[in-house]
Amino acid sequence: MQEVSQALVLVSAAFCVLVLALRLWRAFQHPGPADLARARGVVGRGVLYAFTVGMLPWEKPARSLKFWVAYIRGILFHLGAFTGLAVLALSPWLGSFPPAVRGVLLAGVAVGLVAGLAGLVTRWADGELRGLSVPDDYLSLVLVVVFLAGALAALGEPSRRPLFYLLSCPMLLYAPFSKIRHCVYFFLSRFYYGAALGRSGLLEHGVGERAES
Amino acid sequence: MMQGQSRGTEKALAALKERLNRRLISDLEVCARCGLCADACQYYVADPSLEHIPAYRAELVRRVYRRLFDPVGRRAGWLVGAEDLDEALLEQFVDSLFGTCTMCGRCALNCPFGIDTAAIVRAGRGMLAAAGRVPKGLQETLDVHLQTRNNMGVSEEDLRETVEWLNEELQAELGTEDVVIPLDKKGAQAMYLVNPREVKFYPLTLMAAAKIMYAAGANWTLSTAYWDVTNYALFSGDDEAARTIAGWAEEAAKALGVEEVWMAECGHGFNALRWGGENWLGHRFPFRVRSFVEVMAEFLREGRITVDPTVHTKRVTYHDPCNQCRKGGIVDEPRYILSRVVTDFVELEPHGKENYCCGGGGGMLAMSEFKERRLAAGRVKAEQIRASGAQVVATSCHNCLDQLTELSRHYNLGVEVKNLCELVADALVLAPKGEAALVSEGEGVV
Repeated sequence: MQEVSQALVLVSAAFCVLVLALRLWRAFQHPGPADLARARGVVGRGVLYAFTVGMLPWEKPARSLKFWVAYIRGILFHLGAFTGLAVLALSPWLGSFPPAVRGVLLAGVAVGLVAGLAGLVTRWADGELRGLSVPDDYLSLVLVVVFLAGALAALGEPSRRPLFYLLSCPMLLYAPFSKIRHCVYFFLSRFYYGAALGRSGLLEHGVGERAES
Repeated sequence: MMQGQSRGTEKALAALKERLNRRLISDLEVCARCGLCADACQYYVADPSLEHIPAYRAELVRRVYRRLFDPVGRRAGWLVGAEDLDEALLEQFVDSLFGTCTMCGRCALNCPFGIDTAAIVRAGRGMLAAAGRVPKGLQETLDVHLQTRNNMGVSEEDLRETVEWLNEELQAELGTEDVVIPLDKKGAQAMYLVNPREVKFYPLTLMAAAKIMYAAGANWTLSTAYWDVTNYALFSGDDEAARTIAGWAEEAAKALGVEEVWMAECGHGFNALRWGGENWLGHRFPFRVRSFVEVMAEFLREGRITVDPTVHTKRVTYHDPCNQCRKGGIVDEPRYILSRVVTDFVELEPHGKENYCCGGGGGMLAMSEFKERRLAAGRVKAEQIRASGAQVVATSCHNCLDQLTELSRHYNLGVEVKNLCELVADALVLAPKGEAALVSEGEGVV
């Protein structure tokens, strides 16, 4: 059972990476956005900002409680998902992890699982969000939540690894075709956002603090 | 032709395929429909509803994109939200992409992915332009521009007459015949592009700019071959028209051999030529493009003009035009100018890159069918202004100026709305007749 489930999850992961790479390759067959205009600021600074400070919730113009709750829930969910992926990658050695490390991973995955479930409930309960959603939104979220539950089970008892592997397969196989693929497009979109922000000079002059330009 | 498709939808689909680039593809692929963009949009803040969430608008374009390019979207559209483009969906495009979005770009700041929803909306508008479905008022504005080289159909004769009259006024006011609005002056440092409404309805704005340039001793000119600062193709999504208009500006500047093109206060016109022009044309300009806001700030900074802020003692605030600020990076200059020409300046909250759109962007003022929504969305801006306690709202965009003026009436704000150059011109301290343009600094003069 261990070998079969391990082989299945490896094939699923390879398939996921391959299809995601293929999708990215297809995107790169198109030209990049034109940027012939003379820059007013520094492109690199914008990109750096986009991947660091620009991700912080207080850097966003929205101030409502609803936004803050949703944004923080999203951060926790994604931290959990990435912890779950790390657990999957390191799973062959799970039994030899010190209890403290397992405890930290367990906490990360558990928080992600709770945030995922909360996201699922919110998506259904909030009329606007429900209106915005398509079936893929629910299916993707359910598959990730199931994956996290599997990670949690394996972290609690390493002998449950085959179960974790089997629960990971659907997510890995579906990811490249679902909204989960935003995990790779994120980097592309964020890069272009940062580049445009940097080029415009808005980072240096964004709030009008300095009288001299 | 597939079932449900018309010639219009075919053209729209071709337009979408044509403009796909890496960023647009990425932005179309990446959305997780988290709805975090909602709070950033003035339409949503004024009237929270599904249709006013930026992701909802972009989702219309994404549905069509997925049907064309997504393997699941092609086979199981119901699962990922993919849809064939038909006449009904095109109608929805018109209502949503033209009727509920000013392409202000504020939502991109909120988005965890930095999705440029304004660019997606523009791509959708480009599809509608290809299908001949741009709202009448906006299309007519653009058509007049393409037919007459300016969006109000002002003839060269009318331009010359207006300039002659303004020259007489300027000379009478300043008491010197040296002050003129130069036409087709070869070897000038800068060519000035002006909004046709200044020539047709608000010549005092052009006169104010001319007065500032005279005081600064600027070597500038208007071109009779091409002088319109606007480019409504930015809003209609028609890249071909945008390219033509940008090309006219380039031709005129090259013919005069200028080093710079100065754009009269016009948010979208600045964005179009400064940031879009070279990309539409596919090559770099042999001249620099600057907003007149940047130029006025430079005149002040270099001491080329002298101003007296005590002529403006009312409380003044500043509305950042989205196309100039969030999309163009001009944030400090207007504040520097105002710090020199008024005595009581107060910021709107939020301001700068986080400023709310006034609701007049995206070509909204040319689309009368969406007037009610435009004014409703403007409530957010109206409340900002009211909270500031300002008596004067300064801005540097004609569309913003019109919208803010209308908001003032609609929401009983009781504020005056002015372009920056009007405030600067009124504060100018000019030399007496026969002397150099500038005078020495005196009391109240900075």
